[in-house]
Amino acid sequence: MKRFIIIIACLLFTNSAFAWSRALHNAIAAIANDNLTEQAEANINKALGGHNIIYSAQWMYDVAEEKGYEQTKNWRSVAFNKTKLIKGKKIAKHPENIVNRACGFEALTAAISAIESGKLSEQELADNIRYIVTIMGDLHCPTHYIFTDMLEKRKSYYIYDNKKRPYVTYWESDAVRGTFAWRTSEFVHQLSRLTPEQVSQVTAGSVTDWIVGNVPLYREVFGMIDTGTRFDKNGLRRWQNKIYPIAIEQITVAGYRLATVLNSLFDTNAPKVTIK
Amino acid sequence: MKRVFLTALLAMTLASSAMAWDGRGHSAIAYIAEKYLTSRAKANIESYIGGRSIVYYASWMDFNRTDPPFDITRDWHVDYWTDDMRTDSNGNPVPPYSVTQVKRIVSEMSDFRSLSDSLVNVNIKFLVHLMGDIHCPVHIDFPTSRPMRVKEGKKTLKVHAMWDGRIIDSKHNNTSPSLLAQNLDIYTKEQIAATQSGTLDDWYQETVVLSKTVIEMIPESKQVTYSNYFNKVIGIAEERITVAGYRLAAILNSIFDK
Repeated sequence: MKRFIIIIACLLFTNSAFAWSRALHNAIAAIANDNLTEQAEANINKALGGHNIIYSAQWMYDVAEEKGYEQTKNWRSVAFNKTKLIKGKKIAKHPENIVNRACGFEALTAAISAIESGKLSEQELADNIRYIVTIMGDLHCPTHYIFTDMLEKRKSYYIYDNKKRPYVTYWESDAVRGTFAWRTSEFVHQLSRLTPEQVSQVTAGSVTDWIVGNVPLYREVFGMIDTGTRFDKNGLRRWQNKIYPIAIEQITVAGYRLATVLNSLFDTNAPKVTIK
Repeated sequence: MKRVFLTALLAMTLASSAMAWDGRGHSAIAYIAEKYLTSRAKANIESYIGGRSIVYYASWMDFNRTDPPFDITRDWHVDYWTDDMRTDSNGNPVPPYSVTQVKRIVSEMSDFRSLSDSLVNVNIKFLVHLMGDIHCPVHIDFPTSRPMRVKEGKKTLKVHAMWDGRIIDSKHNNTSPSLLAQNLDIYTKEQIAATQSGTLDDWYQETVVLSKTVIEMIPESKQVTYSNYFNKVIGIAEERITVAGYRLAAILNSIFDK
């Protein structure tokens, strides 16, 4: 079956190791699901064979090894030349392999455009909804942002309990899971409670505005570790106290923005989200 | 909010905090309390904690016990006793830290609108956590129990750590905090009212009695199993979490339902 084609033909590489953990992808999808309009939810669930979007929160990871979906491994991150988004042909031509794989923005915007076109088969429509669900989560995780001037920072690690622990991995999961004993339902209860004003604030602008707007904070995130730092229990907690609120905020924002995109695509009465 | 409790999905491994009930236990207490808050109390409380639920801050005191200015709270969690009383370093009897702090906060908050927002905010976080700690039997710590270790299979555990999470885990492993709260919140209206009667000192005295009981129940061999320990004490742990939730609700309602 013909899959929807990404504008840029991303090169195939081995699976990138960085992502929110599956539990946190579920959380983002669940927050979004909680904020879908009735019309959007009904249309989406119909397209997904009766399932809600939480069911598909990790689908893009599940199918990454399957024929026809291998390219999705390269849709989990975005690259920046300092603060400038690297787009289009510049990704494939970039000398750094990690940048070649950073096709998340292209994939997200292509999936949105594909659904907007209204010309997809049932399978293509379902796939593209699932792509959006996962990619919107990934593109709100600071470690999914590849800053070409900070590539060394990606190798940062800390030492706890005499073990080296990668900073990137820490962000994917431990920052939040080491703080809250929540499951998906608790994430919704705790985080899906923004006021209308707050929702307007975090969902203002275009998809590009959102992704580029994350850059200043996410660059700061890479400055929050001195590689090789050895933590004792209290030191780790202290450091964690600075990081988990950022992670929680990003999970929340990702959930609301995902809902905004999906409402825009599947509710004829909802405000329209633009890409640029 | 359309749906608060969605279908439980993938299990997430719990990262246990090292002190007090673990994160799940404290969250369950806060969930139970939240259910019994009056709408006015809940609205007032949430207006002081940035619109968040009290559950969000259930373990906040554990996260912030080592840094100024909250390092002063480090000793509020556990009361160290000598024999039948809590004593200072000179052996003089002193009132329990945790209870003293809760009494102080309740008194201070009686006119919460006259306080600064930041003080109300932090006092809420203190109450939500300390009411859990006060109901945890091993938060009254005796010279005999302090160094005690037990073995579960080949694994060695501090008694305190076992009570933080392992006891509840023995029956409720992989249960989410909100589901744990739902499973425990089975008291009738009358029973809930009965748990909420009495004073903070009465409630603390229950914990004092249990603090000795749960240590005495540890088998002489110090080898704990489901049949010789966990199954015998799980009811105590469940009751303490449940009752803590009901009483936390009562205290918060008494402060904020006005």
